[in-house]
Amino acid sequence: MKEQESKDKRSRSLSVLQDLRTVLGQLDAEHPAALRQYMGRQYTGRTLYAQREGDFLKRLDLEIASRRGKARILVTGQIGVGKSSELLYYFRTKRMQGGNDFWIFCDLDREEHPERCGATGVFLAIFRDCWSSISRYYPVDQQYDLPGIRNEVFDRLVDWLKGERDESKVVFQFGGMSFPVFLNDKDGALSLVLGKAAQHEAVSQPSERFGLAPDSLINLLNKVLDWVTRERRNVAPVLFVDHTDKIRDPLAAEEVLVKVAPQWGRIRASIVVTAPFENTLGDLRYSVESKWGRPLILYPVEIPNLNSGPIPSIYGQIVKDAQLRPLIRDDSVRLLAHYSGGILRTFVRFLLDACKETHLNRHDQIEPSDANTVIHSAEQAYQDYSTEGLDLLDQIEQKGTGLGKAASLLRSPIGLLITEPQSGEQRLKVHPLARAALQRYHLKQDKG
Amino acid sequence: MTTSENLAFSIMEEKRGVSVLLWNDQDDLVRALIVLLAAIGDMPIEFSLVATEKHCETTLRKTIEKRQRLPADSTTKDLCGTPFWIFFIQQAVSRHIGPWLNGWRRPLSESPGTLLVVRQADFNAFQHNAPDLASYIGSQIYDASNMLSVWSKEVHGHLSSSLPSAITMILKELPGTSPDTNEIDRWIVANAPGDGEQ
Repeated sequence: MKEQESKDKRSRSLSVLQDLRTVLGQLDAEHPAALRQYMGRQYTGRTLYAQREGDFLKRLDLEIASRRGKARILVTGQIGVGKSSELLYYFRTKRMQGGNDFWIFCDLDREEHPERCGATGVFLAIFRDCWSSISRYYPVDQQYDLPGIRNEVFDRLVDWLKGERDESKVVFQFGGMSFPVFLNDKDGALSLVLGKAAQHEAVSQPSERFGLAPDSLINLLNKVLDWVTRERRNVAPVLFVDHTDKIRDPLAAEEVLVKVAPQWGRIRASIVVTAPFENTLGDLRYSVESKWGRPLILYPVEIPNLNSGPIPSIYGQIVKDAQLRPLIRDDSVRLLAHYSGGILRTFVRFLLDACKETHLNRHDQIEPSDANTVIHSAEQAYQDYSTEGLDLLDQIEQKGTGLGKAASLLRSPIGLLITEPQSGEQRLKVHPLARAALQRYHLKQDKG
Repeated sequence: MTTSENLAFSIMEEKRGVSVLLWNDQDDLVRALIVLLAAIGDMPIEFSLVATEKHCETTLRKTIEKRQRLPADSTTKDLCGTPFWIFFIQQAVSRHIGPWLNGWRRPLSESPGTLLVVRQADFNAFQHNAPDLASYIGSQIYDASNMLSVWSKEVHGHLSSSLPSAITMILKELPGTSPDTNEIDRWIVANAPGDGEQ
């Protein structure tokens, strides 16, 4: 094994463009991590899913299983911590296991703009993805009563969205542009209308939205979900609604998470929804918890000590899956893992940047100097620290104060970390990349 | 210290993701772009000035939707000819534009990627208003004012003393003035790589 590794080490080098390309092709910091194989398809070009320690998935599973058909679970956590990767891994694993459960993954990010998407936009996106999952799994025209439900949903949407119908098509006006939908493929037509309406509701100004009542949408959605429930021996579907945490506009987030809570309650399925960290732990915390219960938090991976001690195995697994094992020194892994703050997107981004830096420096493997260059650039690159923010970070570091006003810092990808609770209490930490900014702040204060 | 050629290398080798080019003086920005375009070669590029929310809602949205319509599992062949985007963010609009770009971080990062050109003084506001996009960008941030006037012989052969007219038009809308072509010619000659350099 060691012999093979040292042979690999001799024969591969990041200074060789082809070797660099091979590694870059295995790392992706933007998409959720992929399973090596899913539904007969081999995934390449994506960072592979690596199992983390902790009980996040167990808790999720317990919640879904114990509240069959009625679970309402909010999932939250730091930007880039791995929420989508964990949910997608769970969803795909469950789907592959089969059984009576019908799993649906709804993605607010798909052809969308979640930033200030309101409740109607979210429900339309859910409807779009439910319909697309169901119609893909059950060929609609071969089912006894599904075509009737489809036609009813389509007709209602045409009315609500003020479509102009002739024999072959319906023309909708979205943002002042005509959008014709042809009726020869009714399943496709419904998917198109739902997709376009969801997108319009998310992107357009509130004054240009259709003002569809979420209530009416839920009634229609329930018809489709009830059909699935009957098909699955009375087991209601499980919906994962991802990227709702990207609704950063506070008013839109409040509408989706608090104001339409009764509508969420009426959806006849179990629901797992991601939610913005700064809202679930910040100003909206108590309103959100009163409607949804305590959110399930995905914490950053354990941060290894900068100089010694074990490095959590997940970092090594990511390195190995990217075929980087012989091309990075252990002390470089430690450096990158430490400064990633346990945020896996940052760690993968660091690996990508360190590979390129190593190539440009004509090194064979990622040396600590390459890793330090990347870390230094990241420290310099992030500038979103207000005086108030640094003051809050300082209080947390010096006096160990609680979250309080500092919840606003959770909006930033690099600032404050909330780590796995010990003795039941969450711990607050300054992100290792933010320490340099904090030190500069201290120096400035000392001079002042 | 880095070079525009390093930025081009990163863009071409990673083939996706979002990078940022910071600038303060248009003089530096023009030089950085001249080297960048020469190093990128014949990769198709689409340029756009992002100046108002209205522009995001109409023009930019159409551009974005083109990339959104590509299936998630598009092959390299499907993506062939898809342009790389260079978006110039107008000064002092990050508060309004940031949230738009934040919501589109996924299509912006899809292959072949995007370069956002942002004025240094606005970058703090940009990061604050586009936190998710900032996490995609990571340390992919290059500063035109710190770039060395260094390039390879290969790039030297492709250097042009003027930028494409689409960029020139955009630069006219940005603060400052561009250097004239004579000045750029002299700069190219003065910094030509020596015989020993690759």
